[in-house]
Amino acid sequence: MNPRTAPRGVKAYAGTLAIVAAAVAVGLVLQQARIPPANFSLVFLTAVLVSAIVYGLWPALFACIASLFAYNFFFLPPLYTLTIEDRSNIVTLFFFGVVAFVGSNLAARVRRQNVIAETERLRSAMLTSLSHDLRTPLASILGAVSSLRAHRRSLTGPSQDDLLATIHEEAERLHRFIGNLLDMTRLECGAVAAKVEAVDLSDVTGTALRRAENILQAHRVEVDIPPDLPLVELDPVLFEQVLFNLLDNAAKYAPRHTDIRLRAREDGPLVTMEVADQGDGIPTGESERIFDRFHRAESADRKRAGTGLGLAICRGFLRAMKSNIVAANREGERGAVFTITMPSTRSAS
Amino acid sequence: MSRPLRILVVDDEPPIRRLLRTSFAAQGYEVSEADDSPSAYRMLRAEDPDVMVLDLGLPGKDGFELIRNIREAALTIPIVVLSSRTDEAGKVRALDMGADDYVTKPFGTDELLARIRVAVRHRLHQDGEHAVFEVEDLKADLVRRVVRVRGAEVKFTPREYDLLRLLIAHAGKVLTHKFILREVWGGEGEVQYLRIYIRTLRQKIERDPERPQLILTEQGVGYRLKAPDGTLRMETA
Repeated sequence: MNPRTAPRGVKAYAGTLAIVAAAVAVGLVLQQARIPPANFSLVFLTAVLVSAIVYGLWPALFACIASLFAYNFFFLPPLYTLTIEDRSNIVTLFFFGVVAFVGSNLAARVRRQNVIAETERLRSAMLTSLSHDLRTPLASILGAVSSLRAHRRSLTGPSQDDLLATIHEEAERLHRFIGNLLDMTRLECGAVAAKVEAVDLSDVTGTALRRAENILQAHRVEVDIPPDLPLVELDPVLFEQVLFNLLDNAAKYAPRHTDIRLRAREDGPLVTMEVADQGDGIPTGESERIFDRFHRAESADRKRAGTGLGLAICRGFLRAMKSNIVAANREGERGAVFTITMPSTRSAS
Repeated sequence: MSRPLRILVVDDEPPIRRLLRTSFAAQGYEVSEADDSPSAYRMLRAEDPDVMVLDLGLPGKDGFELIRNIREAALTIPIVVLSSRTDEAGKVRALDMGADDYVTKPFGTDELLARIRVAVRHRLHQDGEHAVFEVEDLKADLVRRVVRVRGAEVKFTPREYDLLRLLIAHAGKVLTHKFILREVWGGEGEVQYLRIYIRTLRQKIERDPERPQLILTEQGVGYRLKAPDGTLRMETA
């Protein structure tokens, strides 16, 4: 089993147990109201179907079995044993089992179809993104190289430099995009193992800024990190990528010659870090959707060069190290602000 | 008398070898090539190159094994490793096994050349430490133990000074956390201490500690002090 399905599996089964426990609770209330226990099978059936819709087939079958035992144990006389006195109750239990089994299969199939439809949507978004984001830089690179080879003698020095700069910039763009694709794939298949250690936030900020130097040329970056900020519990490599993606995002969405502000503060056992820009901000109601894969905020007049992966990776990486990120518009000011919350080392002691 | 630096390039990808051959030759260096570990090892013995550029992901016997073989045979040739972006563990492993430095693919040849020069220079001066070290705003007199930043003397605690001195002794080279902890704390410290000491050092010597220009972090690997620039020719006896 790969490391990602494992916790998710455990979570699903825990959730299923909680649903069955809720059914038991409802049953106990009905019991107080002196409603005959044979009717409780519908309560448990509901629990099984809910499990199937929320978690899929296997947790639902698990719910079936858990319900059978719980039903018998709590509600069929003799109470609080797994034996059954009344034969009619055996029949009830048997048919409950059959109906729950068939029902959970049907409900799980509906769920699967929804998942397939979502996967289809994602796949087509991904193909669009792939073909656009891979081909555009490649086209520029190949075009520039062929010009250089064919017309080297007739090109002036500055035009040659222009073409070389194009090749360099576009190759770097391609490199970033492929990096994003790899990061996303690693997240998807659960290959991101966060190596959390005590990290100096100003240190990671420094390396992220250094890496983002080229894409931030047209922006002013203001860094505000208190010199006595406690260390934070992070994977420095993943966090550098998170900051890089946020800076890349700000550089893309905020107009040239505006400020990007990085600010960190201690907040009880946590440290928060804000990345604020002076762009158009986040469209109403999109503050969560922008973290979806292949989602791009697009305004009518401009086609964004984003890949739609950067923010999804930010959230994925941060979750892998027990931190979080939210987006909002700045208060009383133009622009978006991304706020990361992470545990400080003081929270451990 | 001096002769050009001889570089052995070990990579199984022909385009990378071609790139390196052309770029190194343009710098006046001599280049030989190998596409797997056994032939690299043979050429190392036969041609006695001054430095090796090694791709970690070779087919068959990989780069790690080659590094181990070379160091077990007590060969001191500097090794600069080519590694991939997401493989911090591999970089650390290669360094711990005896590689001198690394660059991450894709890389600029100027960056690779800088690493090569530093690695070779350190092999040459391994025993002799310079008495005065100077890079940008930082000037350290290691005999009198006086460090000046932009002309003003800066005071350090003994531990801070040890750390700075270690970085200076290996200027330009990446030092892993493990190596620094062993050299400065006798292997007893934790990375956490190191990070706090680095922060303090930066606050004392960097113009802008949030954008360090002198003590650079190699994320997930270690630290590197900026080296003074300089070209390199091999002096022949």
